Amino acid sequence: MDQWKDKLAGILPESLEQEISEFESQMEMMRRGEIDPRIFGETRLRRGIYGQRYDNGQRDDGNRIREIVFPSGELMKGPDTVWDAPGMLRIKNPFGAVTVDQMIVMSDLAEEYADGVLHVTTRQDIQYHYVHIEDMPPVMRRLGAVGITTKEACGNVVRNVTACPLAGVCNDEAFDVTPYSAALTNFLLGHPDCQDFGRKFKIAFSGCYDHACGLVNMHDLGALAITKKVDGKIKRGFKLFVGGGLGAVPHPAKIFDEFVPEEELLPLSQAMGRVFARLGEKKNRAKARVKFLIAKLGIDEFKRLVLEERKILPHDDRWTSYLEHGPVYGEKAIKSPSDIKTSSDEPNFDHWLSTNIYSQRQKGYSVVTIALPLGDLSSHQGRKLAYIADKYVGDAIRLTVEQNIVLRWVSNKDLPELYKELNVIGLATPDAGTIVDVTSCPGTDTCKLGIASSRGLAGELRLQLAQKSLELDKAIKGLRIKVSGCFNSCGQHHIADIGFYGNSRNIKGFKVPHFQVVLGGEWKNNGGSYGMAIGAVPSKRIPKSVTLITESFIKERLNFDESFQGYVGRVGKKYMRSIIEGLMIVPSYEEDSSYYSDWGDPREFSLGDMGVGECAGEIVTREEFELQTAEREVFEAQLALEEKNFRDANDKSYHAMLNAARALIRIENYDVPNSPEIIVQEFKVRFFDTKRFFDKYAKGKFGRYLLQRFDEDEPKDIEDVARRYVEESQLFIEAAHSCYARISRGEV
Amino acid sequence: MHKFGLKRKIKSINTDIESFVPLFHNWIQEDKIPNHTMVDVANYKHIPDGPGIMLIAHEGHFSLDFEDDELGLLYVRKTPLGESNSETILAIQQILDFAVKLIQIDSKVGEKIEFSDKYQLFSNDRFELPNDVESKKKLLQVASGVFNDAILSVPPPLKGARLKINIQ
Ligand code: SF4
Repeated sequence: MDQWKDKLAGILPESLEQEISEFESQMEMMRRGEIDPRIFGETRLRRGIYGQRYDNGQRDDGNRIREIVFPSGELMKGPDTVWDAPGMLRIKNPFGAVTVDQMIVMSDLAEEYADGVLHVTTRQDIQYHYVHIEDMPPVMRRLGAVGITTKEACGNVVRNVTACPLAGVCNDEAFDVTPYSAALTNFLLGHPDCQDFGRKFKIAFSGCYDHACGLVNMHDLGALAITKKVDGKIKRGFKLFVGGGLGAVPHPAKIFDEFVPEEELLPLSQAMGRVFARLGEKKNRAKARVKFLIAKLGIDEFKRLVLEERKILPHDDRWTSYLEHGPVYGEKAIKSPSDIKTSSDEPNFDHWLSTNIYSQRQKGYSVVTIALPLGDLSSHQGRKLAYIADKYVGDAIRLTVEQNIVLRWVSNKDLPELYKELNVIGLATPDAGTIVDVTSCPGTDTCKLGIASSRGLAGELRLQLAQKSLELDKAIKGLRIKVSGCFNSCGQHHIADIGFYGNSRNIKGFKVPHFQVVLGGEWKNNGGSYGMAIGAVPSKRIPKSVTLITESFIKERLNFDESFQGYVGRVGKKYMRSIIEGLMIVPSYEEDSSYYSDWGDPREFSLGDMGVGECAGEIVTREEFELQTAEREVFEAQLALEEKNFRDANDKSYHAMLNAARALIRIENYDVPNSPEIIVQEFKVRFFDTKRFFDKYAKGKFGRYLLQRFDEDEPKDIEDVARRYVEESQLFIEAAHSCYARISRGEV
Repeated sequence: MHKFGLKRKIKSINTDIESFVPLFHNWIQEDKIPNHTMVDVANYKHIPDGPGIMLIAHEGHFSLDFEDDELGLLYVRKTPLGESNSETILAIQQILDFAVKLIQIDSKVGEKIEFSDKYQLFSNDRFELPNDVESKKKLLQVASGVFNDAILSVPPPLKGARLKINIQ
């Protein structure tokens, strides 16, 4: 029993408490072997609880592959995922917004349940690593108490909605996208139309086209703020992009519409969700992102289907209610504006000022970027940062897709003092947004799919580049490096000037960690174009390759105006490859064994630790999910019966039957309302009268349980009655499972 | 309650803390820590005021930690250990001291590091021991029972931080 449950009662929103309690029931069912591990796996993913490297209970220790013998033995928390194995928890921070209280609680939880580190991801989330599944409910409750959810942070659902961290204070934006991203986040979170996707769905907002912050071009749905004059009035709206994505093969997004008025943003997104749920691939997850559906149908047909769907959507007040009082986001400066004061006795202040400060549109204020090495900060830093933020900017904190943190609304005269305080806690590193500020996915450190150590390499590059930061040519300094541990591109290497992704090569029977070099991607223009791969270099020689590539650029560019992309495009792939060709040769193991292990990992390199990734989640249909919900409810009814809470047992067992019936009806009538009358009527017509629900031997007996229960008066809250209902409900749900299986096989 | 942490402070170190990466890997390879299911090594050297190099285990994590610039070997317990708080802390101390010995006899780093006799005790459970006066008293009381000859002091607390006691 989670002690925090009682302590936070009344603080935690009731609906969230209910969800966490349901998850606890599912955990209990998993412990008792009463739930399919595949379904439990996807259930936990949808709560942000993700697997981590070695969670199959095996690890290559450098000498041999060994079993990690956890105390939980055979107990699993998903296919091939051991119960006791530490896992990852992803926390959703919509558009990267974090308050002071949230930062404090996230720091507390990092040290109490994880490894003491908060990790900022490339999608403005925070991740904890090495968390035990049993600790998830208290973590979720404590996060929920400060308004944070982990719901739908992973799995085949709408993921964290991202937005420019400068939204609302940017000099270039058409308007502040924050209220729109908040409204869309709230609207789609747990929305029934977004529960049956074959893969994840990522949404991003940008305030302008030319700058990169929102990266709308590489998302399943990207919304770019624009304004238009309609009948003499300025109207807000969005240019909508769809089907963009990185992954192994990057797809630039297609334009869905040049201008979607603001009031159409939510309903169109909902309609898109419905089309994706209905027509998207469900079996082959490698082809299940919406980009593949669009490629299959063509953008025009996809658009036609979405618009058709939009026409028939039942009206929902939430589509526009947030617009009624003007779309505003309640972030305010806590200090008065002031002029910039550039003098400070701190030695590195000027360097920091030149790279980590952005002058806001609002005169007298700046945005300060806290550059985090590899996106990491410790719980101690997080807590201290929260107090510093409280003093200077209040809740105006946001996480960025470059794995940094920004403090917005800093009054300019406070910059020297703020610098001093950040410096004391090691958070005043200069060079934010420069070549030194390398981003990386988790790679082999914790990801099951990682091939090479992206964090090890990124750390090394950062270290080497930081040492020569002040001598770097301006053109080099402005480049961006991004590293992924494998081709899946979570480190966004495709849109970096210089990108790397991990792979491996066999050299005389040994495996050698390598990185494919990808050049000329465009971070600007919202991730406007993707880089080209020029060849794989042994991991240990990647820093040298960066030196050679950047030196050639400086020496050979036509003039100061030629960009890195322009240079790479002009000289061509073959030439760029020739620059690094000499680095591709790997010395033999006897000559230099250091090539045969990865950055920061003394073990001999191997691929033995790779597992099955959970990025995509298991493909579990909506019907399977709903049948599982029914099972959970009947399980809770049993517990209520044990506790002699007969009223609860009666209600839950009835509700479980209704849910199971609804799951079946949905196969044919997707929008069946959640009303007992309609569910029972539809069930009768579609499944009972047609005998499709009938059991070979018991015939209509189990189906009748629901019909009778519906016709009965309020049941007596006595043990005999409750027990009968629970048993009938159990049998009804079993029959619903069999019926679903027969339908899936095309037998009925 | 089992969520305590104990740090044995380091007087001097004459090697890059990264040399603890292979050392911890070796502990996993050779099952050096009894009764621990060791999982992996994490390198957080790049985080100032952080856990440094960590050895992740199911029962508790070891780290060459530098919180507040106080370098030491920290052991944070994750699973239940003793019947009472004092028993738990005592058992944690034994585990930590055993790990310190392993480091001292290591041929590569043993001679380059000098541990002091000072410890720092942490409570890592804000439900049982939140950062308040009452909990501080409780923790001091338990600690004085376990480390009965030692001088105990409480460093100036940061609001909300986990409770800490210096032991020397
Ligand atoms: S890019 Fe590959 S290694 Fe990196 S997080 Fe994604 S799947 Fe894992």
